[in-house]
Amino acid sequence: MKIHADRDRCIGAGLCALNAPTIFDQDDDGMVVLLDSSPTLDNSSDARRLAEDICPSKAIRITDG
Amino acid sequence: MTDTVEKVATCPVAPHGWPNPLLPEYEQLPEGRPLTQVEMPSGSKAWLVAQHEQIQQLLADDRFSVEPHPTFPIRFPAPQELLDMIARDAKNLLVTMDAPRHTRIRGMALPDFTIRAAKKLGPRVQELIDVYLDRMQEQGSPVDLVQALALPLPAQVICELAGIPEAERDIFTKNAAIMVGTRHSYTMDEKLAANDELMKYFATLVTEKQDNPTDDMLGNFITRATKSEEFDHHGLTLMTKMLLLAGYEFIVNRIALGTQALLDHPEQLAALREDPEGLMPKTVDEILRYFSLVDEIIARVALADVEIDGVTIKEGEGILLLKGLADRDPQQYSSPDTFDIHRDARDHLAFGYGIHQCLGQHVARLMLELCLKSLITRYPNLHMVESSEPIELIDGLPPIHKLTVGW
Repeated sequence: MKIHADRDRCIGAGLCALNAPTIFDQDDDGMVVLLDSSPTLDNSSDARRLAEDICPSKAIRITDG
Repeated sequence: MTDTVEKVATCPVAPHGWPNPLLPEYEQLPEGRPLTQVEMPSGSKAWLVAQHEQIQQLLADDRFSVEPHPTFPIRFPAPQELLDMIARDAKNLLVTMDAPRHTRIRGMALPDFTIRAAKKLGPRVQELIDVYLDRMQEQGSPVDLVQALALPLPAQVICELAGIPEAERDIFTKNAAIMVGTRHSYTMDEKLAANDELMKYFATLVTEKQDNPTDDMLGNFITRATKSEEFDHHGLTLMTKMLLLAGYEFIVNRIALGTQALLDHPEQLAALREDPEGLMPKTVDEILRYFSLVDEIIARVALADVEIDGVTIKEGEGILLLKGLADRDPQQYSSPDTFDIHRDARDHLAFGYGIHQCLGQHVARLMLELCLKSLITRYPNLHMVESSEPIELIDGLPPIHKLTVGW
């Protein structure tokens, strides 16, 4: 899986950095920073849950590959 | 689905505006929770939405607006003067602004509400909690936890965020408590007087911070906002009031209700004591999910025809999003009416969803986590007193304003 974080859609809620801190960070302005675009299988379910259910601005997208 | 369109009922959420299943009208929500059309007091049409997934979908859709609109769903009969006042103030409030202005203004406050910014506050919040728990100890068991901790702590934390000097804090704490914290104890006149006093104080505070910028949440916001020329002085005063009061009642209630829920579930409390680091984040999310019911509902108006699950919400129609019910949606959560700190409730709607999601959520989480951790660590025998009627409700509904505990 490959993770994409769209900083133009991001509203700085910080829920990605709170729930999956190995994959996402929040910069000083509050916006998403992608730390790891191809996380291990262990972390992938968190990423999927964030993308589908938690991120309030739908700024996280997951693609295959 | 089409037959629900014809069922136009009077909006059941007025006058309290609370999506509370304690109200019998809520039992009338059709099975499966389809969108249900209702008529607002003004005569305009709106849709009740109670499914978790639909609420997320609608709140992420920029074809819905929070700005004043002739058919915006207002849940009480409102005289024109009040509507004019709301419309005037709305231009200055983040909660009633659409993008792109909302994005710019929110961005001015955001750097002081990040996870890191909230974490920096941690030690100070803990100091304050310790002060209140010391006082509680001196007072002796039992005490009313709302007065001893839940009401004063967030007020002091807000004063820290606003950089309000110690000597001026009474003006804020006294009036804020009248306005939101213990609402049934005061008359409308007393509340209006408290509001006037706060607005006067905030106006002075804005001027002070413009003249002598301070490095705190409010100070930084006022510096950025003044530079942007997006607000006049009154606008900044209104924004200050919103920033400082928007989450106050919310967190007061979550500290009290969360404590009560844990005391009501001794096995879960024991598990949390065993593993506070591992279980606290989940506990906080579950408290937030479980008690979403006590909040105001979310309203929007459609700026275009929007189709959702076979229903067309027409341009100009309102939507009333019952997030409290959605956080008890059986399609989203198994046994939704059961309080369970072991579940994954991270997608709760307590802080809203979409671009308006609560700015102060990390500060709220911090307060709730530290309060619960301190209470359970310091008082191994914490229990409710007056267990037959532990929560005193207002008009038979939450929010809580009294919780007597002993230890």
